[in-house]
Amino acid sequence: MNLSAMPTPPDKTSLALEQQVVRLQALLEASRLVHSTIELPRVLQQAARIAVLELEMDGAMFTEPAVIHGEVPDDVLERDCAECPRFPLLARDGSVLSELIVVPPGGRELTLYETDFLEGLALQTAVAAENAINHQRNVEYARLARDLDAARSIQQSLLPQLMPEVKGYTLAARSNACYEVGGDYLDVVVEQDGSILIVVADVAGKGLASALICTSFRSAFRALARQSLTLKELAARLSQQHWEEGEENRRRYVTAAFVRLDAGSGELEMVNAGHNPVFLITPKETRTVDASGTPIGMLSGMRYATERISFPPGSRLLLYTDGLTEVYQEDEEFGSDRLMEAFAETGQAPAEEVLTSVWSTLNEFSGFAPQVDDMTAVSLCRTEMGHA
Amino acid sequence: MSMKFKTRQVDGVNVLDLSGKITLGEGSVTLRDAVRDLLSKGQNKILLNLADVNYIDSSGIGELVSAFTTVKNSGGELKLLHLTKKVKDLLQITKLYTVFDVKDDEAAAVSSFTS
Repeated sequence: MNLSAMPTPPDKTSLALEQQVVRLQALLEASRLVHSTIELPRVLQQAARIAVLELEMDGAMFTEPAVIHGEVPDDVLERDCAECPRFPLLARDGSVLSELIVVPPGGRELTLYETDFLEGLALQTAVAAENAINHQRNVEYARLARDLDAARSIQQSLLPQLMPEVKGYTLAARSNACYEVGGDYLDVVVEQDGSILIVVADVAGKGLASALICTSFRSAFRALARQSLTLKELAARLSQQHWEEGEENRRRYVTAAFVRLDAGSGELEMVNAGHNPVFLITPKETRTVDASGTPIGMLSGMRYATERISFPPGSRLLLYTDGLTEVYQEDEEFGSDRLMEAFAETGQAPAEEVLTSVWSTLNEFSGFAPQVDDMTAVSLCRTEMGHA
Repeated sequence: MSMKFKTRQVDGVNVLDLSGKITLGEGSVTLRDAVRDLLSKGQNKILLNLADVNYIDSSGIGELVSAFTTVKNSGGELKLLHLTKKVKDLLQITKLYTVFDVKDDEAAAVSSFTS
């Protein structure tokens, strides 16, 4: 709109209006410029440049991040210039993102128009700055999400991909992390003498930090598993090594249940290191195998006891993490008694079906609510005589 | 609600009345700082009253153990008082019940500290 081309000579009112329009146009243009970029330093550079050019200031600067345009004296730079005009950039939540400070020529006061313009500029810059900050966060979030995705693939690849086939037994495992990666661990190792070593473990905490401890636990476990140690010795060494890693590791202690199956003799060797009771059902009894010592890595010099258990045909074993007992229906916890019941109900089903059945009982209880903890279980069943 | 605590002295023993949750990143740091603060003042007889601790997770258990060993290494004693069912269950599962000195009566707990 070209106001100077108006047919009649402008009176005082229309002159004021004309000025007003020009100022609004300047502010509109300034707004367009500060919104033209999504990078925070450039948004602020643009705004400082506009303040200097449009209002013929000596200089302008932003406090955070420090951005300067034109001439800004040292005392202003050091932020102790109390008399310099300042315009805060306010975020939507009212917090101050940064401050615009201008340096008028010769230290004169700002005119009403200049103050109006700078307030408008600060408002527009605040919106653009907040968008830029959010954009930066989105970029960083996307990078973190890619990282976590890669971490999840690695953690899943570290789970046993195939269960060893042992004549007369069925073995199955399942692990679901609550977040992208988790602090639960399970492993099944076939030892040199043919016995099967099984571990289910739970690192204190959840998420990435616990997942890191998990991989370090796995390496230690796998290295020691090759040394044909007794289970109580294996647990004691793992615990001492973990403890010696320092205070942060001690807080991220590991509860673990270890089982060694000698398939030929049908004997189990078991050590429970501060882990949830292991469930055992044999034709003769239903019982739990409770902890004989504190969790791995929590206290120095911890000793454990090995339990030897006869595992005749028709026997079943369930190792699990507390994610299975701490499933909630409103405020009510599923608990270990219900878990034992759900396990007992599976009868003589093979191991894979045992886990499917337990999981579906848990889902029914929680009403298929999203899980709140990592959930891991291993089931070992010995088939009845005459059933291959 | 995260954890809150009040400290009082009974016959030279520092009783910490804890309430709320001791969980990762919330109560656990509060507890750690409270114990460190007492130790820095030379106070190493500590009784943690857990009567109003309605929830504790694995990180909270780790923090209790960490407080226990820190106090022990400084030549002091840390005992537990009035466990709720949840805390007691977790200490039993993890076999820690035998590690801690657990009390049910405050007066008896206070007098059990070596003078």
